[in-house]
Amino acid sequence: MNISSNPWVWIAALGSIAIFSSMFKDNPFYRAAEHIFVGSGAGYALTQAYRNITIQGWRPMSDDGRFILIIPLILGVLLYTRFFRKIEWMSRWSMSFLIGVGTGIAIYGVYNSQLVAQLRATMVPLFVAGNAAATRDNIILVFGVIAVLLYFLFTVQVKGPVKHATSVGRVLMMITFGVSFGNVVMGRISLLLGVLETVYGKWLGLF
Amino acid sequence: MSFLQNMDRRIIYIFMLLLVSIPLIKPLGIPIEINYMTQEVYDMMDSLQPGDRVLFSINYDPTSAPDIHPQAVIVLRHLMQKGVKVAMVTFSASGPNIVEQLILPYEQEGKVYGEDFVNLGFIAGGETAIRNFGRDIIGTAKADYRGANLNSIPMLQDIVDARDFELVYVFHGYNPGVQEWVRQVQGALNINLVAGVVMVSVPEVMPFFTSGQIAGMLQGLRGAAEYELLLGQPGSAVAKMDAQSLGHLVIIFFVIVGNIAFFLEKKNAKK
Amino acid sequence: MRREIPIAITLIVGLTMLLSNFVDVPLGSEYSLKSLASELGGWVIIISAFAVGLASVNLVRIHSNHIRRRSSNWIYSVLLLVFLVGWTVMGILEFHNPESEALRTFSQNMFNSILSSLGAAMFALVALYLASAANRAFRVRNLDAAILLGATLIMMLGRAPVGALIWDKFPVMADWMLSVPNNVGQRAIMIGAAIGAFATSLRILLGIERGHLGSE
Repeated sequence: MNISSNPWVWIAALGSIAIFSSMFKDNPFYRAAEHIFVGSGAGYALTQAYRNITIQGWRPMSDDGRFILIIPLILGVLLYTRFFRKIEWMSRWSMSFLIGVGTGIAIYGVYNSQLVAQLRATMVPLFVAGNAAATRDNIILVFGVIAVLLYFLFTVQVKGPVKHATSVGRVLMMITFGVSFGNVVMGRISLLLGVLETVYGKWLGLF
Repeated sequence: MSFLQNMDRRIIYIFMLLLVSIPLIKPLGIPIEINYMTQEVYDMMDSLQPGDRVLFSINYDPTSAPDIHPQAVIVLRHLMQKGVKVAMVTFSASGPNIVEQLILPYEQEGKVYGEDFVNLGFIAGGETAIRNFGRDIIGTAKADYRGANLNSIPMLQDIVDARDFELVYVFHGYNPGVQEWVRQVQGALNINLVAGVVMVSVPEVMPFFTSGQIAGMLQGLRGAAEYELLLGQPGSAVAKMDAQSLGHLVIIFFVIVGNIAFFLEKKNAKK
Repeated sequence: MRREIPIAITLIVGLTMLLSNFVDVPLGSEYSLKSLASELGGWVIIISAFAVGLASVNLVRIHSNHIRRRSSNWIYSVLLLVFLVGWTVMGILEFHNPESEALRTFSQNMFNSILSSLGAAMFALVALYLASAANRAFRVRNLDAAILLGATLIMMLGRAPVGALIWDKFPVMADWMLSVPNNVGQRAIMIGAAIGAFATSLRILLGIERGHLGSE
């Protein structure tokens, strides 16, 4: 064991242990660590906001003479009127600007890259000569996508052969969720290992 | 039976912590197979030439860093060894200091900030910022994280838009990330896009990979471990794979135990 | 007018961004539709920067109230505000003194040991809660649950190195499940979501959807 003498490593390790102590019981160390984290995160976010406002808005306006940027600077300040009930309606101007741009770019991006490109990628040959595995996979892909899309059709009553297709769709959805959950488990364990590396490796020097 | 079904949570936590801690301290040496997707990404990076310029988009924060930061570390090491220049931008508020974490060791080694790498900092605005940035790198970023005017950065000379980079590597922890890059930049400018993704997001990014919209994908900590092996420099990601294996076995064990107890209790109730 | 003007802003700005993808019309001597769209995108960056600070300002409001009223555990609110203000001051000083190596090193150490470590620890707890939830909640009550559990187990054994030791087909099965059935489900969800997003975006642009404007 080779315990670190770096005070920053001690802070990281003790903070991690304080957070983990909440597993057993809520306690003052956990509360303190939690509030330190939230306060630090909020302070850090404010710093990044200040940087962006200065670099993107204030400096181009004051140093380069781009006075039109007063408009987004004012719209940005108006966002904060939501804290005052009498004038909170002014924040709608800023929100509607953000939403307007967002929806404008989303329509094209979603249509092009999610709808058209994905539909195009689904149009694969149902028979691939000399490759049974690719044939099998392509058939599952094409009919599977149709089956899952049918499964999500709730506006009409589903009966007859279409009902069998929706059952296939549901099975495929269960597999999809199972795959997602498996990956979630793996991802979360990775996070745990990262913290243990800080405590065992960097702090206690066990590896 | 009810003990198995309603085991005290703290016993489960301690069991899990103990079992994943042991292989961290005493590795088991379970062999790691290389996935074809990792091999493809490695080959793509290996084909780059000294002097080529690559853009990293760091879209993760400390809460997801343990799963994806090892990828950024090892891929950057590969590129630095090859003499490839890397510009890094982030659309996540915590990103700039993560980028500083990545580049500090190379500055200490003697690599030059501005010539070998540059930190373009955080740009607010999510998908809109990505759209603008992809089309006008210098005009959107305006200054680097250390306050320098981008026109004075040697490695950014003649850079106009994302097409001027050999490839764009998006490290995706959460949105805005791969999907936004695909929607706003890859489709419009037809750039070479590679993704490093947290395990949680791998299933939802998969359709972009199979449709060819992203050229390659590294998957979480496992992807980093495989990349370390391909580079011949096994490091912390490889060291954690044994613990990862035991962690999975613990979860599977508890699922099976819980279900056995459930079925036995159902059987007893019928009697 | 308090609702009409925002709706008009959404429509004009949204249409500008949308149409700029298809046509480039000159607007006077200096601007075109594409350059206007780019300018508006730049404005979003500035306004979004203000939005980044919104949550922090709200936190200051809430916790200042706690301290003023001496609510229970108000001392933690003091701790929160000390770190919030301290971090903000440090960050702004670092921004205005970019040549200061000492400030940059101090700020990076603070980030590594506080934000990075505590953030990772908070989310690492989920792995432990997952183990507990796997024992209590993951029950095979019907065929759907059995399929879901089967897929989960194959994925977990296929992705962990130990799975290949148990049976060398686990990684192959996991890869196949990820690239075929999962791809099918995710692609169908993506297509459906794209159609939904398309419809919702049109409704927002035309002012039919007004949820973003809040209540009267």
